[in-house]
Amino acid sequence: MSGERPAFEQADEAVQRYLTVVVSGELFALDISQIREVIHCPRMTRVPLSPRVVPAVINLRGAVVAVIDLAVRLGRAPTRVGRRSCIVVIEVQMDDRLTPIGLLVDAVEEALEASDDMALPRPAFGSDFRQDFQACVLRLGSRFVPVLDLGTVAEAGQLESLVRGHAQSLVGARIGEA
Amino acid sequence: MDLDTRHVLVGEARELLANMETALLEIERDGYDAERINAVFRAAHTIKGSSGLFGLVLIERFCQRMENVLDDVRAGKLRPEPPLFALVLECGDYIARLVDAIEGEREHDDPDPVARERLLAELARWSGAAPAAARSPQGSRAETPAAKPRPQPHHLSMRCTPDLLADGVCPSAYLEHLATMGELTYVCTVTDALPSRQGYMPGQSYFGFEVGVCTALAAEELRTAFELAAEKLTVRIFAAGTPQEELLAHLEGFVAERDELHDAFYAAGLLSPPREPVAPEGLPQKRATEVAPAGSAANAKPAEERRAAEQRMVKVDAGRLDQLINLVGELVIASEGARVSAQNKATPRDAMVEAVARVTQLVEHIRDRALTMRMTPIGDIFQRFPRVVRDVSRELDKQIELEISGADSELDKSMVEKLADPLLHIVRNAIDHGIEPVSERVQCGKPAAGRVALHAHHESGCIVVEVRDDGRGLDPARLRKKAIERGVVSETDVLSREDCYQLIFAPGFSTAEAVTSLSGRGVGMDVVKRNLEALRGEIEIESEVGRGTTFRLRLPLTLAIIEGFHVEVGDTTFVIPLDMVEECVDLRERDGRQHVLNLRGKPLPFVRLRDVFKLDAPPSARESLVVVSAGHHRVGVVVDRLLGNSQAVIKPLGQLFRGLHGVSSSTILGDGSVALILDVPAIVGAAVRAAAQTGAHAGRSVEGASP
Repeated sequence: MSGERPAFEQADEAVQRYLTVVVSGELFALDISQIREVIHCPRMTRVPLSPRVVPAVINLRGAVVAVIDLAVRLGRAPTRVGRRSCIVVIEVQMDDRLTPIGLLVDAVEEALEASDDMALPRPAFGSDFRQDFQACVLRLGSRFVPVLDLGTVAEAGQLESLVRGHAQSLVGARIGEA
Repeated sequence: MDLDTRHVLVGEARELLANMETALLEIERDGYDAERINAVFRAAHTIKGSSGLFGLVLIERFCQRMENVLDDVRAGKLRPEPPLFALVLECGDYIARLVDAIEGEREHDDPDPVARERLLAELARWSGAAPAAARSPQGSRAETPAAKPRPQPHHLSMRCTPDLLADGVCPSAYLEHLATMGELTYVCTVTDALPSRQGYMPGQSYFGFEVGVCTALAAEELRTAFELAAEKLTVRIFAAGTPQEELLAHLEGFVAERDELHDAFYAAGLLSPPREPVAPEGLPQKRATEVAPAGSAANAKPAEERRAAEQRMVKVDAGRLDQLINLVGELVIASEGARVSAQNKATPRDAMVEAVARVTQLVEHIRDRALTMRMTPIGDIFQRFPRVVRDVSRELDKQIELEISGADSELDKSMVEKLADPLLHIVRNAIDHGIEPVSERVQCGKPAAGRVALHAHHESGCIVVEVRDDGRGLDPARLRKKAIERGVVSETDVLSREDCYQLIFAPGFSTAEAVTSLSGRGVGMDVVKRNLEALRGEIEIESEVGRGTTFRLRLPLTLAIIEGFHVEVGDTTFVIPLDMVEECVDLRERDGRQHVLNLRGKPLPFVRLRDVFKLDAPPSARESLVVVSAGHHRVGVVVDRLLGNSQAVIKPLGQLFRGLHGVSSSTILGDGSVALILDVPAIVGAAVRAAAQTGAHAGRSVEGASP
């Protein structure tokens, strides 16, 4: 296990495929096996009273799918939707079944393969977002790219309580008791 | 036990319990007969069997005790008396709770040890009352004591699939189950399926069993007992009296175990040296393969198979399916036509429009037909009522005759389930508050038994469910007085007769002088109303003092599609369910200052959707007001623009947005974007409260200002 070179000759289990994405100007990697599809950012419908972290829903071939703004989830300013904006659709456990959910990113860069020895354990400190959002770090040449742990980033229970908390803080108990 | 099996087991048990209940109630009403008690016995027996198969000892042992008592009744050893059937009914309730526990994967916790203790003691008392004649150890199937068969030796060859352990089933559970049906004479573990070292997977079960059992059950009954495990377990049964050649041929299949089995067969009397008779006197010889299913087991098998299948499927009328497929066929042709005319540049615009119209029309037809597939008869919930009525009338010591009609009226499957609780509440209330005590009825010259009628029918795209009683009726004056006492309305309020009736839905309102354990605490009717509104239903009351009351529930047939009214705030479109919209009014600027508006002399509280949702779109120059209603409140919702109505297919927003206020679900618009559907009851409630807090005096000033 000396180097990163002959990735294709190595046994399959030693190679992982990743998709790199840009979130508020920074590069992050996602495990491709968790991704269902990537689509160009369609028209989003803002959900009123919902926090910026799950700001909207989209129509994904007839299904209404919630969108997580990955930038806000990682503690950055909300994403501005532009020409290269994309939605990475993953599936999470929601309503007792696997349900698609969208991750809004600035841009999708590339799909790449990385051998196991390129994936380093996450650093104990030094990242400016929640540590448990980070599964590991990929060494790509001279750069270190954090791999997001989508199970934690898009965990439905946490997001649900974020929405509930935000809605309540905005309207108090005014509508809630109806 | 995997989830599927659990599902099947629970579904089957519930259905059997329902059958048992029906039979018991029929016995109570029409008297005892053998067929009905057989049905009860069958239910207890089958539940026992399938729970035993999975090592669910709590249920199995309980059913066993119940079955013993029932068997004594069938055998004529116990007199069929009403208190016994009341006890069995209660036992059924307890079993239902055990079944709930299985569903919740808590099958090893007793949900109610106290009840279990008591019921078992009572069952023991009854079975003690039977003459102490020898009872076969485990619920025999004998119709009369004389015909009770003697235990016979059988040989079972059992093979499990290797992945058995992965489902959490231990093969020994099967043996234990078998041991409840008779005496195990020998168990020989067969290891011929054990792979060589290479193919061996720890965590897989490679064992088979060759088992001898001495039981009075027929071979077919043994087979039925293992039916539920058929996916995981193959059982070959050699009944008593199987020809020796067949048994010997079976033995030839073994190498290591052959001698051991051979001896065991002899010892059990399956293979006989000439001096022993093959089958005891009085029993015809039967081959395992052609045993005529005996007694109740004859119908049990296909029925159970069918039931298991029903659990996971929806019954669809074949005719409906054909119609749907025909329409899809037409749609394929029509869309092909539309495609061709779209590709042809020379197609006149009229022809294009026509082609599209044809496709649209077919899509609408298909949508309607597809929705009918989810329809189930409302009888599914009506059938629970005989039991409820029986229990309630006993508790209150009233005589009630229940009349059910229109049980085959259909509505959406999801609605049927949600309708059950509100309906139950109304019926209970009718018996408790509506129907007078017997003495009072006789005094008024009414028949002693009160009548409660449940009726359902379709009416212009809705289903109407009526609960009618011939009790004392609602007295508007009394309701009003009570409401004033409770502070629900004030002395000065002018209430119509209908308004008075609607008071019973106010939270904290109860007219019963005495609070009973059933109702009278004033919780209930407001919940009923709220639940019905959540189904977009409404409730109407008709009543005549001294003659009775009718509750009329009107519900849409489905929740999947609504007629929606589209409005816009900024550039966001919202949908309001059209049946909650009363009217639309242009809002003049000076009206928009307070929270209450003067609408034709009446104060109308209103909210701005922009404020409710904290939308930051710039305010619009012109605004419109949509008057919506929920319950007996009317509220105005101010929006920027009215866009008109069209059909909306409801799409749930899912778990993430469950905590959101004011939005209930979403729909997809013609342009492919998503629009949110307003939660009108929530918005109305908020507006009413806001008006009550901040705008109380404003409301009065508006009222005062109007001439």
